Amino acid sequence: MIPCLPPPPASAYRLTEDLREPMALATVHRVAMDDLSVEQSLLAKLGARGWGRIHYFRNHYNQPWGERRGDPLSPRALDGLTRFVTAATFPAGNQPSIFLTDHGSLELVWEDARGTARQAEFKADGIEYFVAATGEEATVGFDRMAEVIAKLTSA
Amino acid sequence: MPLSPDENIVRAICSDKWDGQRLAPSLFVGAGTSVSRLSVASLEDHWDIFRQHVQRPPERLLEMIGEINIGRLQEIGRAHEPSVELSVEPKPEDWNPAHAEIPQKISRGLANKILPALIRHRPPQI
Repeated sequence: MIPCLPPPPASAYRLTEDLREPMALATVHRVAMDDLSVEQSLLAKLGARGWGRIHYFRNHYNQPWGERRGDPLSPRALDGLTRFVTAATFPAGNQPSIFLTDHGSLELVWEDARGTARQAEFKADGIEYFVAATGEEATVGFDRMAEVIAKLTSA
Repeated sequence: MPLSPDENIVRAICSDKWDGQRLAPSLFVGAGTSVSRLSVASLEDHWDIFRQHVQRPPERLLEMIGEINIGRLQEIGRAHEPSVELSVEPKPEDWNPAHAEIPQKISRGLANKILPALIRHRPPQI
């Protein structure tokens, strides 16, 4: 059960404490039930580490970052990853890792039951996937999400 | 002018590419991968250079430095199917005179073969 989401990024507008209504200070920011069920699904499938990293990227990589001015996290990439994870099933005891690419995409990496890599990179305009056992590597649009889920989660 | 296969290169590994368990293949996927030369700056100096310049925002942490010999990198590229002739070109920058780039486009499959060959250096105790 998740009572609330992490606080918004530091770059977001903040009301100074002395201007806030006392009631506002006492309230907890609740999320909509739809969002809550998605967050619970992400937490269950990615574990605390993966779920926490999504929020780490959302909160701290919303502007150009690093020495080469990497692209901020793409909201479309995040939406693609969220749809994939909530629909996919991962091997028991093998939770995927999540990384941010220099182009603002999200990369999901895990191993199948034989220990070979399965990977998907969620970009602003589609998904790049890789199945190490077959060497298959391709980029497709989000309209083929179901097909990618089937390929990457098959035994 | 490509660098000699005898040289060793390093790549900064920050918290966006390492989660404590796995390395991100995107460290090497794509063209123009940014690396740095140990023949120009020592590993100790690279810790200082990277700490000063890559940890932006401050929540982005330098977790490790990955090292590989250029000749070894080229062997991996040639052994991959389809074969790729990899090279490393010097590209000094103001913030890092040792900076270099791998200009060729590296596929995800090839990046997955490069990652296990990296020598991982943990931060020195301060």
